[in-house]
Amino acid sequence: MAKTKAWQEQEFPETDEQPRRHWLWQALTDNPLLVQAAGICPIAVAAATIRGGLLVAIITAAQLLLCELLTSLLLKKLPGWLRAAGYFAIGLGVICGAFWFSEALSKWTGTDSQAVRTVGVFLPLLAANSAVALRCEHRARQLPPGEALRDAAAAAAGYGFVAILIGTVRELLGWGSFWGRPFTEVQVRGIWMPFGGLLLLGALAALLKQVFLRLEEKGRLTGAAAAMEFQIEDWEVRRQRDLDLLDNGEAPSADPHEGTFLLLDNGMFPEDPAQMQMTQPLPLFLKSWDADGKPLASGFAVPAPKPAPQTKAPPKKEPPKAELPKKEKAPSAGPKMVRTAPVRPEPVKPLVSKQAPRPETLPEPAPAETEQPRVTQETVEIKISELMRLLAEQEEQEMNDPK
Amino acid sequence: MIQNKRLARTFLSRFICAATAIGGGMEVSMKNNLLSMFNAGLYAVFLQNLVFSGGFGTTEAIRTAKKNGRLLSASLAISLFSAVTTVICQLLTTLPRLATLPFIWLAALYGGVLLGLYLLAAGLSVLLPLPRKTLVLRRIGMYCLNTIVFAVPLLSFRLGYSIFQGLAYGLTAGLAFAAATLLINAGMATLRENKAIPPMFFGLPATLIYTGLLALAFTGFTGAPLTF
Repeated sequence: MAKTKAWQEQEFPETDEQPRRHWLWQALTDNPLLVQAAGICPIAVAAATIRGGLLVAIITAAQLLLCELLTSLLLKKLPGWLRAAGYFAIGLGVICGAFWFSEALSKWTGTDSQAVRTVGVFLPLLAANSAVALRCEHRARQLPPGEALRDAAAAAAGYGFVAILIGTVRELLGWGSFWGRPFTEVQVRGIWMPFGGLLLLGALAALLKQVFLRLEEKGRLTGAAAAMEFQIEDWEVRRQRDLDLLDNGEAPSADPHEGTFLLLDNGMFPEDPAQMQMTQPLPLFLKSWDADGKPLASGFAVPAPKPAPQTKAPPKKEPPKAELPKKEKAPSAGPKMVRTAPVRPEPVKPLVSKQAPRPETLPEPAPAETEQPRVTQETVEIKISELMRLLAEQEEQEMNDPK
Repeated sequence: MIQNKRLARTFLSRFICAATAIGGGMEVSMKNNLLSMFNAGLYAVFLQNLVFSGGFGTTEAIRTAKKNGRLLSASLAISLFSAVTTVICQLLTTLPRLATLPFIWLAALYGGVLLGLYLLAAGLSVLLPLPRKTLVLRRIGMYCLNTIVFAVPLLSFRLGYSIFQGLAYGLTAGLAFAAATLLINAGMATLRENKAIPPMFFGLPATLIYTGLLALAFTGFTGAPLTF
């Protein structure tokens, strides 16, 4: 089901459907360090001089380009645990290649490979750079090879820029030198320690967020500052936030890693969705509240069996119901839900669309036990206020019509 | 036959020498071993905390602090893999050919050992009927192939630790990670409630600065002078 564009633009902020920007712009808005908080260790530890920062930038760029391309072509077909080993192995190969090249170059030029010695024990640790693994898992797996290379170039540019900048500042302030040559007598010892790198990263992140906030005020950017919120993913906090949004008449938040939400008034569920067994990915992610607004549980839903059509009376169309897994102990009077792997939302058709003729009742749920739940990567997004209105109309109809 | 016996005696004597070196010397008492293990553990957790003073595993600590309910599994995985990798790498380094390798090739060897251990553990997780297997397989990569697990054997080699010290260093790496993650999580919870933080600092910038200040505090344990 695909959303209509107008409804999508009105109800949901642009995510994957953002206008295609230059890849250098993506290096800022999707920066692995300052936005995603990935790959901090090499920056905090190794990028203490300009040469160290440059070395980290070059090696990380090589890793990103190679890993994202291979992930897009080959590694995405492997299971996740094997992909992680692949990233590490590729990183080790890149490190060894870089070291061998550095040694060969120093022998050829007759100079000493100072950069490699400056980085020292931290050079091999670049093989376990989390920025590469996270980028490949969250981006390259879903992109074609050309787009993966573009994304890798953007990530490498962003990461390298921050590494070189931080290395420059730390060398100037910490050693009073520039590229190994004395520059000033002022030395702030300790800035080259890991805490100095972290403080500088925080300051850079704040500067970047201020730029995003200014651009969002002018309407030239959406969602970039929100991506830097980086809060604790507490289920209770998220539920309360969604309840606050509902009180204000807005739709609950759509987490791109967890799917989107449908409000249902239903029975008891286990509080922690992580306790539920994993099943196949399904389109509908449900959250439930009781009559007092107290959140109960949330999880992905299995479409309920389609009721048998009635010949005389029009068939009753019920909202999609969820089924609890068999291991569930608490009895549930209402829809059931099972926990599935989070799916990334993609353009989907709404069950209720503003432009399409609105059905008087909700569409029929998917068919039944004879058919396996449809395994797709689409998610269903429902305008909550429309759904509430339809549910209210249905209740009123049922009250007026005793049959 | 006689030549084979001589070869066997030579091998046996070399094996005994290696075992003596591995055990930290037959003349070193068990008490000294325990004290040196305690010393190495203390360094890993407090005096030179691997996350704050060393900067290793900072991303994993911050991202784990963001998600409730993963700390125990992450710390156990880090401890186990760090300890086993360090022990195996220390054993390999006693071989004369490997001990003379340049550091980068030795690091590549250590990385290979870690990779092999990870594949073994993940393979066993796939084959054995484990509870919540999908979750285990999804998280095992992040908690086993990261900078802190990879740094422990390298640092043990650089610091010249014995096998017992390396084992203690690896086991307490998980404890260091847990301490760091708990502190960062507590700070993130406090920062979230503080409405006085300017919007440009709210979120990741404040978290990074807070982590940097924690690292500064732990740097004080090292006794390193900082002149401004």
